[in-house]
Amino acid sequence: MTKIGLSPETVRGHATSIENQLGLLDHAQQSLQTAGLMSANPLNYLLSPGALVLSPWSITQTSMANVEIALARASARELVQKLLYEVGAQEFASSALDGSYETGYAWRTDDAKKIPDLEPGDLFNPLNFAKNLVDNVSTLYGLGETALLAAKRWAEPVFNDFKAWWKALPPWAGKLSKFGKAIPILGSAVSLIDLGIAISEGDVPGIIQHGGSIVIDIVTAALAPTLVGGLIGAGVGILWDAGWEIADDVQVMIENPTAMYEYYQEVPWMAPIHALAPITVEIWGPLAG
Amino acid sequence: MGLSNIALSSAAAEIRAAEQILTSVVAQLQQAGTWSGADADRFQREWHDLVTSRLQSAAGRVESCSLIPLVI
Repeated sequence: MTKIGLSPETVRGHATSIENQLGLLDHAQQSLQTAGLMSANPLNYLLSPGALVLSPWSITQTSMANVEIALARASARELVQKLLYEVGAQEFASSALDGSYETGYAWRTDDAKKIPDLEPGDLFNPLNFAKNLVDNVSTLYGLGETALLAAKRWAEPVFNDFKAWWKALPPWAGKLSKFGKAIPILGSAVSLIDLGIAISEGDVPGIIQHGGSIVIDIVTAALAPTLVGGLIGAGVGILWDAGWEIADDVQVMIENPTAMYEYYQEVPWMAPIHALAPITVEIWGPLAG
Repeated sequence: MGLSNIALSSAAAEIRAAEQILTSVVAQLQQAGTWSGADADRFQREWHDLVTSRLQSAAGRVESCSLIPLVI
């Protein structure tokens, strides 16, 4: 096992020094090559009789010395590259976040320059968590309320059964029901917050997305008494949200053409997880963040 | 104008100087941090076998060269 505690800058600095020294060997190699050529072909160099040249045995020696220097330089460069690779691996491992070996998402570090990183704070940020919770609960509530209204209109026995079941619940359920009436307002408030963020960031697609959500909420609320209008409004809202999610994913894929391939090359074990539960692609996958 | 013993000695000296500086840089590299373990030992061994020894051998070959007068 290797224990590398070297700073990457130190290693790279020394690697540069080594490369510079290897460059200095050029002069010695050229001198030896010239000496060998002059001695082997004296007439080409216009040498006069009596001039000193290498003995035949020495010509062989200089040739072999040249080969040894060339091999030494190549080996030195290879060893330095190995060391730089180790340092690179150390940097890569150090930049991974806790738990990355299980989830895979944190492998997408800055060093990798692939899909934008997802920080733990993005997942566990209390405000984000609360916002997403309200968003999801309000969506579910809206779906449930619409289904209930539809049942009242077209499947009254089911509606009556539900009402009977609801009344049989303990008193806290009644309080929950009162709170439930505030949920759609909370959902719209979340959309309003998102719209505010999009406006402050000058995010035009975000303004359209969240502004559109608010408009759909208002229209749906206005049409709710007609029931059919409420159902259509809820359907449009679902399609609107899903459409934006898909568009976001497609945009990420277009902007990172090789990222998907590289992601699964690095963390192949995530592929079956994503295949079994596609939603995880957005949480611990290449489209997270 | 032919070769000279000075030129040969100079080439050998250049090789030895480069070898010594390289060895020194690698030693500094090892001392600079807490790099240790089997891979670190292997790096040192390979550096010695593949770089240091070859350069020393090359310098020795150059030093052993002899010059003779050209006869045509």
